[in-house]
Amino acid sequence: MLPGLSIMQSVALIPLFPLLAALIITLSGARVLKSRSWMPAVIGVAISAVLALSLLVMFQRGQIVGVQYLTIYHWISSGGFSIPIGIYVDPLTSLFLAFVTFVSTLIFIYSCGYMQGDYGYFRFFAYMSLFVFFMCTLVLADNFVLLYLGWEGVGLASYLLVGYYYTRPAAREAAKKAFIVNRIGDTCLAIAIFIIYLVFHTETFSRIFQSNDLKNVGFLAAHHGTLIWIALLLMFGAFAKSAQFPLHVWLPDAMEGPTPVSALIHAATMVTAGVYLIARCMPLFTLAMPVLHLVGVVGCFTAFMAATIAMCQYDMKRIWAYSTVSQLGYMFMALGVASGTAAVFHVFTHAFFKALLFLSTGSVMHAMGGELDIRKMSGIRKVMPITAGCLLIGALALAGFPGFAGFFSKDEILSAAMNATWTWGPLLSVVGLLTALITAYYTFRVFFRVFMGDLVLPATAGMHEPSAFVLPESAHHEVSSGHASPGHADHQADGHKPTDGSAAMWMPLIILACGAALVGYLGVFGGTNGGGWIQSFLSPVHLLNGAAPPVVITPGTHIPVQAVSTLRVAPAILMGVSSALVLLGVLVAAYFHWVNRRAADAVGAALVPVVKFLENKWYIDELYNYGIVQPLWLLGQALSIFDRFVVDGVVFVIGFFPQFTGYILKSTQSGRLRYYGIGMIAGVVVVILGVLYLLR
Amino acid sequence: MPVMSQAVLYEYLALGAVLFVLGLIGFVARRNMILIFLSTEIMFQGVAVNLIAFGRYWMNMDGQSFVIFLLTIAAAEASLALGLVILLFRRRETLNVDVWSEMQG
Repeated sequence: MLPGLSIMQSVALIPLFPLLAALIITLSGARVLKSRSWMPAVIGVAISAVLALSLLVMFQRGQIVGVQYLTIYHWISSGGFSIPIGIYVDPLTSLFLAFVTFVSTLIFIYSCGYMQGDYGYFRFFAYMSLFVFFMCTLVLADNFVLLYLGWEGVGLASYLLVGYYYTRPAAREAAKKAFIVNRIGDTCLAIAIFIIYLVFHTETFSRIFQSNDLKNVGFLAAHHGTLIWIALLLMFGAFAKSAQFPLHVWLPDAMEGPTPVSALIHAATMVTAGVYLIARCMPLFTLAMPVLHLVGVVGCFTAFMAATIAMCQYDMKRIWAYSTVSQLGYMFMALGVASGTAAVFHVFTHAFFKALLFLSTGSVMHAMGGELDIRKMSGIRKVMPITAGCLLIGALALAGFPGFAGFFSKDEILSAAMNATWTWGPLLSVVGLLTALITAYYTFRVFFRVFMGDLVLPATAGMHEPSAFVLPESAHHEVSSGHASPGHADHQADGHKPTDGSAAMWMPLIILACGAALVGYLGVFGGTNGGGWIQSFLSPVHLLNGAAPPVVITPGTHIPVQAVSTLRVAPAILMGVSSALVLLGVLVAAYFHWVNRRAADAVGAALVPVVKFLENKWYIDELYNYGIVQPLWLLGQALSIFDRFVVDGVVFVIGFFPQFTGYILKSTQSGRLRYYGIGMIAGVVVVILGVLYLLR
Repeated sequence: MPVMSQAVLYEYLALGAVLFVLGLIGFVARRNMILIFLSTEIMFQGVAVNLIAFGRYWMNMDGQSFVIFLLTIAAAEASLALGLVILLFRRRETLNVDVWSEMQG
């Protein structure tokens, strides 16, 4: 692809362009680039996007086939233990790379407009580029240790960006929360990686997934329990990163970061890393079916729970955050019924429409002076027509409205669950359908509240977003003196009409809207065997849709089981049902939040306990608080008392002994020469007498 | 040269011991810095008498050569010590060693 380099060498360079951008911005952003800091970031990530898209095209054209590896160098090498830096490229990696870099490019361009004039502009782009580097490393890694590096790296970037407005206490708390909750998952993942090494004596994907051990019934019988543990720990790692119950609590709080961050990291890309991990490790998960089923159940429950919470939130970004948790739940549901294709397809469509929703919301936030409460605004399509149109498309896609992206991918998941061999698959599917109804309702609740009806603007409309930074006096002058954004100070002074924002902001919206409207068709048309493009594109991925795991009864028996076989309900019928539910949801939302908003209040008043329960997010934060935080705090207090009285007491006693001895002995230090003389003589006499006594 | 008898050796050793103890008592009992210093010199001589007596008793020169070194060093040390005494005297206009007792616990 790049002149003079092989395809794989060019692919290996994909993560390096954003890294280079991050380095350039870090080194020169504050002094040289200043408000031009977006340049290296956008250029770096755009080059990566071009390379990633050409890789996708090459896979499509058959210029690359199956799985390709390239070992770049040996990273860690100790005795028999060796970890290479290497890349593992198959259609799954290629798809992830393509949408990650593509969506990143659009969001970077959007950010140029959105973050303009923000204190620490260069810092934002440095972190974002760093994030893209780690995300590409994560999906390109050819072994678990390198994957773990990317995994931790995206966590770091997420932490830095959630806490971007570090002068705001809520942002600091949210960043810490995100980091600590993720730590739980990361620890599980690390332990899983250790166990994998103990079992397989390698960390390299190709050697693990394609090893003959996985086909050897004797090996499987001997390691049955261990394989369950590996899958379970990998699952917890994925759950923390992808915000699944009970580790989902960090994601809604992570909305404290700037909106493009929410769009890129906490909706489109990083949170799907968990899905990627399980899809990649599907060969291991199919050997631990109970765990895979647990993944499905938890995903299904999370999808439902988060959707219900989203019904009763008022902050737009929080609603989208819970919606993200809910959609991730769908993806895990698909993984749970061993349908990696459906999960990855949903990741792919979700990246488009959720990034679109977040960025549109960012535009609203930008125009409304940072206000996000849907009760305080109404009918703003009149002042922001482009944003309204884009958000409508995003909402249709998220709701799964027939013909839009979310419809096809969600349907793929529901149908996979409905027709799974697993007995409880259909139950997941039914809950999924119910969740689809709720999703349609809460999505259009936002749309109708905010964009339809009479024009009501919040008091802050048109003002610049209140700066999160209490700037030191000198820095403030620097900003308002105009080098960062000419006219920025004027905005704050007179206010201006709320609009769609600059072209840098609405152009990416339109591109993403096209994606949200159209990428769903990739799941229906364009495939080689009558199916969708995405299915045939992903078909070479090793065991993505589960395998025929040898059923371990006694060593020697080998009964293959087909993962997806029975056809309970035809996909077309399921599509019809889900369309009807979605329409119902949209209509209900239209009635309560557009036509007759008083009715919504009346219903809300009638259902106060339910509304309270949902507004308080199922009291899960409270549960954490009373179940974990408070007991830990009490334990900390108890240990602090123990420390103060027992440990400090022992230390004091130990310290007291030399102190007391010194106090006694200091009286011998009179300062008089003759006493020293007497002391010396007495000492010599004692020594001589002692020696004589010993030699007697 | 006739061999020294053990009885004679004991007399010399007793002389050395007496000189040493006299010096010791002077060192402890005196307050005048110069006299304290002289007392240490007397202790030196007590040791020197011992060395010479033993050298004579065993019929070799080691003891005497040691004493020559000892005297040389004592002379050097004496010049140094007297210099210090003069310095201290200039500070306080007295030779009483008890005025120098700040270094105490």
